[in-house]
Amino acid sequence: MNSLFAFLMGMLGVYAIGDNTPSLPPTMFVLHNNAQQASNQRILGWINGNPESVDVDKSNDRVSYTPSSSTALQLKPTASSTSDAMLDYTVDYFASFSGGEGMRFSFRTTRVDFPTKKGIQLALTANGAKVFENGKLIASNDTLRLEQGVQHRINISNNGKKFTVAVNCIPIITGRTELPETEYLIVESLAGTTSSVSGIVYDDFYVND
Amino acid sequence: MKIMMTTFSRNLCILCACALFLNSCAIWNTIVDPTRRETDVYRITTEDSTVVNKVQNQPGNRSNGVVYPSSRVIETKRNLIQADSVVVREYPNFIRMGLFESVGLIGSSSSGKGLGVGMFGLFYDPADYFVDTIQGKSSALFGGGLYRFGMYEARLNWFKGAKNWTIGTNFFEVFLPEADNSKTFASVFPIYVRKRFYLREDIPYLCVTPSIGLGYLPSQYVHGSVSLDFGSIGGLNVRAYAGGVFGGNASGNRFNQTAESSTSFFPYFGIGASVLDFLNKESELGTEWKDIPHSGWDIGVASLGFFSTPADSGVDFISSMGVNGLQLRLANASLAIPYLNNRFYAGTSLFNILAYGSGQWGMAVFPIRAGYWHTLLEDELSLEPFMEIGYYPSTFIHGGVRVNLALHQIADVSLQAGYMNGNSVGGMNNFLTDALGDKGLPFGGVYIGLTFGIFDRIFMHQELRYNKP
Repeated sequence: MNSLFAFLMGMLGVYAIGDNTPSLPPTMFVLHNNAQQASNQRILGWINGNPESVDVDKSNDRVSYTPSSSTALQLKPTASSTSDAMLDYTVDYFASFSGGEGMRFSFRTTRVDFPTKKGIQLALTANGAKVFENGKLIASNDTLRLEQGVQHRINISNNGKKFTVAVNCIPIITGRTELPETEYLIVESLAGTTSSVSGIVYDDFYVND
Repeated sequence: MKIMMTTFSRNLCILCACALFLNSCAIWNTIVDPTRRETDVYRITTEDSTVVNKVQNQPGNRSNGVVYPSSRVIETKRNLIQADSVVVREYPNFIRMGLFESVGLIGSSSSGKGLGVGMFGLFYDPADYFVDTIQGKSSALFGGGLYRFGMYEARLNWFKGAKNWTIGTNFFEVFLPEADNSKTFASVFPIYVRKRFYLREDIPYLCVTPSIGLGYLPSQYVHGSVSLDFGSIGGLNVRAYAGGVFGGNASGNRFNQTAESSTSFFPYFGIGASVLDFLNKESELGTEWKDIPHSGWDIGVASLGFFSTPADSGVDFISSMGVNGLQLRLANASLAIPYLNNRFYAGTSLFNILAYGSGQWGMAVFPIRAGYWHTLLEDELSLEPFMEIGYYPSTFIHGGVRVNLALHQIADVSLQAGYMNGNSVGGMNNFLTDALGDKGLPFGGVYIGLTFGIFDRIFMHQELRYNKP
């Protein structure tokens, strides 16, 4: 009976989604979409590749990642704003994960060109935290290591040429870069890592009203 | 037995025009925007410091050796300039968008009531073109027809992102199973759900497509079918159908003037074709418009030409313009042949009307055309020798050369000269014979004239997929 059901589902194409197909049009989701929060900030997200690889709990604004999955997050202005881009901001959120290679957070990059334009990346692994600028290591902290089942607070500040990356309120780097600012924050769960991100709050963003 | 086929034939052209209008107008684009846009904003920050060092010495002597205030003024300005640049990417936002589809149905009609629509539902008896009344035929293989105008399908994201599901509609569709109005089903904007199983994933695609549809106005019906689809390439598609329709016409609606509602069911097999009907795989929805592969040198809705010919009398309604003949091609497609330098092409049109003079004209459904596309001036000017054969309902041969000037992506103008020879359509009695004359004469001779492409796009050498690395 199960095999018959599987066959029928296969015919429907329900099981034909196992492969990551990056060329699929993005599946979009919205965080902070309730009335109270939407008046302040609304976060758009895109699931890169297989839409089943990421689960979005809209009631708790939590995004859960399966291994080797990623999303692009973008802060959108309120309805009264005339600006359509939020590029100077401080974003603060919690990340937790279990096992695997860890997580990677990238900014000053774009969703589409991400494979070639990596921007500034924070890699959190069991061996510590490292920050890269377009693939070049610019800072590391070996004591900030992944701990399974523990929430880690990530803080990224992005303002003009300056940026700051902090984990658990410990700054890893405060630096300057020539990379242009962009709207996107790419969150990746690396191989073998099941993770989640919650409590995403953008602060100090400049609204061009 | 003479059975009325009310309104359909006469309104076919109007429906085509409406579908075209809706496909192109802003309202339709708002409802079913064929383009999805994404923007990326890059903010570049430039920091700059300006130091102004001013010294304005007083004229005359100064008492050196005494502490004296300097006139030097140092002014430091720090500037922060942030410039945003926006990159807009445009993607197709539909799985299928098409202008016209026609299917000839086998097995849908009762004995003696076949419409005789011919292959693809378009090869009617000449006497049945564009008329209100069609005599039922007993020997017709293609007893009925299915016609769709303004097809649109979008990706249906359900079953947890299962692939190749679509939901779509048509501006209008009509089933004519036989020469009996009460069994005709028609609906505006019917709802269809389809699933495609691709057997060939390269252009032209080959896929099996089960579908279920619901029509509701003015007829109410459920339509289930499975089709084997080949295409699209240059907007051309060929399909083999098997399906069935169950539905009814309420009393007093356009197809049922009796006091009681009528219900009926008919199964069918069908062979269909569609023109200006473009299909995207789901993966192509992530391909920017500028990178979408093109297979044709020229694809367009219509091409209208006015010719000067040595005919004794010109077509009435254009003779005042000083020209005798005309040519109208609907739904052109000239497909590049990937051979040698990819400049040879094979093409066709949905309809082609070729008039040499009054009463000297021919009409062809899906004529066969071949030619060569030579670029004279990149992005603008091209030379196109061609040969065209019409085989039904007229027979004619038409050859010539065109110099095409691309004015815009949807418009072009051509200087055309050539030779045509053939036989006029016999037995027709409709607005075409009213307009073009009905002498049924053979025609032939040379001509020269201008042709205007309307919603017609000429593709450039570098735009063809065969010429891309």
